[in-house]
Amino acid sequence: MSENIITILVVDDDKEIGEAIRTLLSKEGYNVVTAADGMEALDALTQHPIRLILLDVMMPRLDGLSATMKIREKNNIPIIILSAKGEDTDKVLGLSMGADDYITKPFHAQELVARVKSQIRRYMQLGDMGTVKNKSRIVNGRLMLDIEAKSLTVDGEDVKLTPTEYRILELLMENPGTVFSAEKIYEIVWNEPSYAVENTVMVHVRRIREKIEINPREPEYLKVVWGIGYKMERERH
Amino acid sequence: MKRKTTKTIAWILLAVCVFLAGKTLAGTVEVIESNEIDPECLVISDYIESADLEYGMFSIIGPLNYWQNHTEQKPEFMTEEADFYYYASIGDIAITNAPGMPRSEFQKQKYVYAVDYSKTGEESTPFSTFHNQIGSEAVPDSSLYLSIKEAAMETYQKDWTKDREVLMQELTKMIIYALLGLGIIIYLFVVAGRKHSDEELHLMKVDRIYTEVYLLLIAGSWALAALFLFEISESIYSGFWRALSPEAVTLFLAGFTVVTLFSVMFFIPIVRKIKSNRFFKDCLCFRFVHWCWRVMKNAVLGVKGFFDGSAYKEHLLTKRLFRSQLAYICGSAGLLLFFGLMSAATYSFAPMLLFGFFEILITAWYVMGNRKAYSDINAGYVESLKSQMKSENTKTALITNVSHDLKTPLTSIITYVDLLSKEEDLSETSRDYVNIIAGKAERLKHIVSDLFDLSKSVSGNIPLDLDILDLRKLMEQTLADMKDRIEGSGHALKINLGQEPVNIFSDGKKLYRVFQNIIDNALKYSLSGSRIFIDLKSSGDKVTVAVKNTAGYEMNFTEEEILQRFTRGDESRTGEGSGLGLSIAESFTQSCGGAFLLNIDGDQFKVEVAFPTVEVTGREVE
Repeated sequence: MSENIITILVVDDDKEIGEAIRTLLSKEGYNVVTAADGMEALDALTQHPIRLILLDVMMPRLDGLSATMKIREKNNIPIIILSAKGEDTDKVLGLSMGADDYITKPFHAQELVARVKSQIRRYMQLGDMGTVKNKSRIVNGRLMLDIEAKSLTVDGEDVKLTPTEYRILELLMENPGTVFSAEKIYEIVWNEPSYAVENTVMVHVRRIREKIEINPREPEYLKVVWGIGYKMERERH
Repeated sequence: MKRKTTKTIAWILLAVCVFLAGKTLAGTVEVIESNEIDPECLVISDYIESADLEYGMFSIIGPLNYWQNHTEQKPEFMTEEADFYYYASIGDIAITNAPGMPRSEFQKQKYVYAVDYSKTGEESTPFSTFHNQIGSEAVPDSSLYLSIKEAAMETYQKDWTKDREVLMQELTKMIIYALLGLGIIIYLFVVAGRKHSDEELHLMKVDRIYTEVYLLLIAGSWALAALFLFEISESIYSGFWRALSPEAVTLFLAGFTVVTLFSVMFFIPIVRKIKSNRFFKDCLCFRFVHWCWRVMKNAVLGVKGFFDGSAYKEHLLTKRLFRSQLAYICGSAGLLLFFGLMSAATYSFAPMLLFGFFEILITAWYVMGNRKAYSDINAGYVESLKSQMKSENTKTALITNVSHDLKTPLTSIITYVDLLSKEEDLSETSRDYVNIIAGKAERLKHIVSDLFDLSKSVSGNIPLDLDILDLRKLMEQTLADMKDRIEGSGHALKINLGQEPVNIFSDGKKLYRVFQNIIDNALKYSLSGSRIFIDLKSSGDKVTVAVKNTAGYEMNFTEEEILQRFTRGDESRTGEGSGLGLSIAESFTQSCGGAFLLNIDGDQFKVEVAFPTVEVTGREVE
């Protein structure tokens, strides 16, 4: 962690929500600057050493998506979109505009804090490490799997995995985007013929999720492809 | 033995019977013809009662009567004179073939006929020992005595009985064959349309042919046979063939057998029709009569209804159409009457030509008027469709916006409640209150989210991510995912998903929601400790997942009611849940191309989700 106090910009036209987030993040030791719309946000960026932006979408004057595009023209800081629109298509749109994460309203305080922390850690600490090309490491977003050390770090923090969990994760992370059936996973990881293994695999998948996902109920990385199998989501950008 | 084989054998037997019956018939005719047998002997056993005897006696009495009228000519008898005695007189002249036999002697004979109008005669009224109504002319002053010799009568009777026996034998044979044939035909009619395996009536494609066609075919074959017979008799008359030449007999037999078999064959579909109550339905005449009757009924009984426009009063356009229709009918009828009378009065066709001209005019007026009305109706229809769609869209937009606007204040509530709960100097009571608010806010969040999903799905605005997936695997994954909840519920699940993968084309994420909601519902509302049954069955090109459970409360609602949005099993509406679970499951299933069926039977609650299966070729999941 950096010794300097990190400043976060919260942009929301609803003042109460802005204040609530300020309180939440202040408790975590962050300095919070608020803005009521996109234009104010752009102004605030020039006046404060902002390290992360929490951005609402539906706002007067300049909406969140346009603001994201404008900020991205010259700035690389993490942007988390906060929106009441929760459809997959909305999320994809926001992320493709250059946002780093997407939180749907109404959100849980813990989740918001976790996502903010995750983004800051990646930006502050992994920013350089991510660029290091190392064959013994598989990096996917917040996750980094060290094949030699057989260890996993999430947002730079070590996470303890059981050998089985590690092998499942390794298999999936080596082939991001590929869907594996439970039987296939079982045959490869357990090295035994598979029979009625859906429950076994699902239990491990859920345990891994608890360790790597911010909200295990809405996983970003380890996903179930219903009726087919399981897969590791490809890195977004 | 299979019924088909039995039927074939029956047909062969029938052919044999018909052939033999025909052959016996021909044989009998031959016997009659060659032995000069009188077929009467079949009916009358006593010769004395026969018409043959009557005829024989007339052949004696006739010439005698003739002689009485024209005395110059002596009678010539066709019957052997040795077989009878006669005595005839007119005035003083008498003839007899038994000169030594007085008239009184005749009376003592066993077979005698006597009539005596002479002055010396002992009898004045006819006297007869025969049963027949034999009579002779009542020539004045004449007498006629006739007696058949007893020995001759005995010979006649003997021959008669012999002939009778011969014919009887032939006839019995014929009757036996005919009865046999009839029995087989009845058997064929009884088994028509039946199969050995079941009691169902099986109709064939040929049974769809109209009844008349078969009747015509039967009548046709008989007509053909009659024509054939006529031709044969013609040939016989013209002397080309002897009556019972082998050629004629063979032809007759072949024709008779074939026609009989064909008639039976054509009658079997009719039998099947009768059995399945289709005889009249398939009858063209009957249909035509029925149709005519209906039209007549409408026209005659419903004259008032025919011209009753009250049903169209409500709508301006249809009212106008109906009025112009009435005007057209009345105008046409008036014109026809007027010009018809005119042409009748003037005996010329010129007024009818004028009628044609005016008729064209009013038809043109009628059609033009209607076309405008029709296009107006179409426009109105399109307009109403549009406004309906618009209102649908408005409704969807409204729900979407409302649920969206609900989320913003909800965000504040949830966040501040969270902040509040982290305050350290809260009293015990306050903390309880805060926890209650937190719980309710969480539920509100779920309801809003469910409402949003449902409104999108119902309005058809739901984006689908369709792919080929294994429904059995999806069920396994869903059940594995819900493992904790299932185990914590205290219900035992009886799961039978089969062994084979069942591929369908659908949206896996939506289906997960569907089954999650259905199973959740079952877990939530089942009688405590009761079993929940989950079965996956695929048959043909369809796969059905059925979830059955026993409700833990009385289900005093219908299938339709429970699928209404916000309807919940427990009317007190306590406990968790949005009341949208099953509605969402139904709507998602339908969006994904499946069928959603709900069944309530007493305490049994059953949900069935059905999808069409797809064949997968060359697709492998790693």
